[in-house]
Amino acid sequence: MQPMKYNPDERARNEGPSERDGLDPALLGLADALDRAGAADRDAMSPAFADRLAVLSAEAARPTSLPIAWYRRPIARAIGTVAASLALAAAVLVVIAERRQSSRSELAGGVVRAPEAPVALAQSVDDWAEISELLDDGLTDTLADLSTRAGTLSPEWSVDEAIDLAGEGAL
Amino acid sequence: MAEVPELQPPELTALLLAAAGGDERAWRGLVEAYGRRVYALARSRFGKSDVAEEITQSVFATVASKLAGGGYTEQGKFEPWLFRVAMNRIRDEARRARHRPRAADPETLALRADERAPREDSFDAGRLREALASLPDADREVIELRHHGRMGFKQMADLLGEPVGTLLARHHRALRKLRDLLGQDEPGETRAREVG
Repeated sequence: MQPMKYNPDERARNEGPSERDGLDPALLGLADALDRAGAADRDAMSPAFADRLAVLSAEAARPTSLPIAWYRRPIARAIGTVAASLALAAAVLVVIAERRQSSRSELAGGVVRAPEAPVALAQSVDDWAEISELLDDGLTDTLADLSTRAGTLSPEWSVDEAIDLAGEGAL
Repeated sequence: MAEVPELQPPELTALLLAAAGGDERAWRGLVEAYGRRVYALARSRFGKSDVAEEITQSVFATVASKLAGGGYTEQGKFEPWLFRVAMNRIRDEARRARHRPRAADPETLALRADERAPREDSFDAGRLREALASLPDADREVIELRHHGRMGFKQMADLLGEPVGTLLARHHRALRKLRDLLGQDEPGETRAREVG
């Protein structure tokens, strides 16, 4: 039996059988057949797939587009949390204000008065206490902060608009 | 199709850097250098183009996300790292495939029939594929990494965590097992070896 001194890495990758002299001669043909089978499998990959693979890989490597990328970053996540809190608080404010407005309209003997600024109605100490009871303690600071800004809300703004504005950081 | 030459370290490092930022041209370079090799590994194992495409895409998606997220730092081990991802994915798929009922898949059957066309050498590709499938996984992996993935033994040593000499011996042993499975010795060689 011939000594095994086959070291394929010492030869070029696409060498012919003559370069395989170090391999057990009984296996030369088989190694060549395997090389051909491997080449056939490599060639079976379509150019269209190769193209798609490059495009998809590039997309996968790119930073995710907004707002998911923001959400993934801690600072942006914190901003998102505050914005969400503001939106929630603004929604609660508007709902409470609308209820009070409705009650006052009823008290006024069925005469519907011109709408007052709904958020302005929620600026009394009692209103804030009521809101605080409805919400988690963690939002108290946010609400206190909101209280200084709520006056900027226009009476015409709907709940959805208020939420949108809060999300955009306008509040 | 002509084989793509290996990427040299400075070129590979630049490509990886650009690819990590989502540069499409860089990814084309990486796909050209490694895509077909990963694809061939999967195709050899499962004999189906759609499975090979799915696995290759999954491997490149993993690599892209790791590169972009700083999960890989180039230290001259990109190829073993890439093929480790590929091998893990192939092993997962093979594990899943074992639990599926075997069906006579038309594509696989057609592939084998096509490969049975007469060739100049004594090994027909269809039988070779069947014999390869009969090898123990460890032997099959070494052969497929070498001949389908075109990996060097040094790179395989990095990938599998074994000395180069051990892998050379494993490769040699796997070839002999394969030849025995094929029952096809080249004239006089085996007898001469046995007598010797």
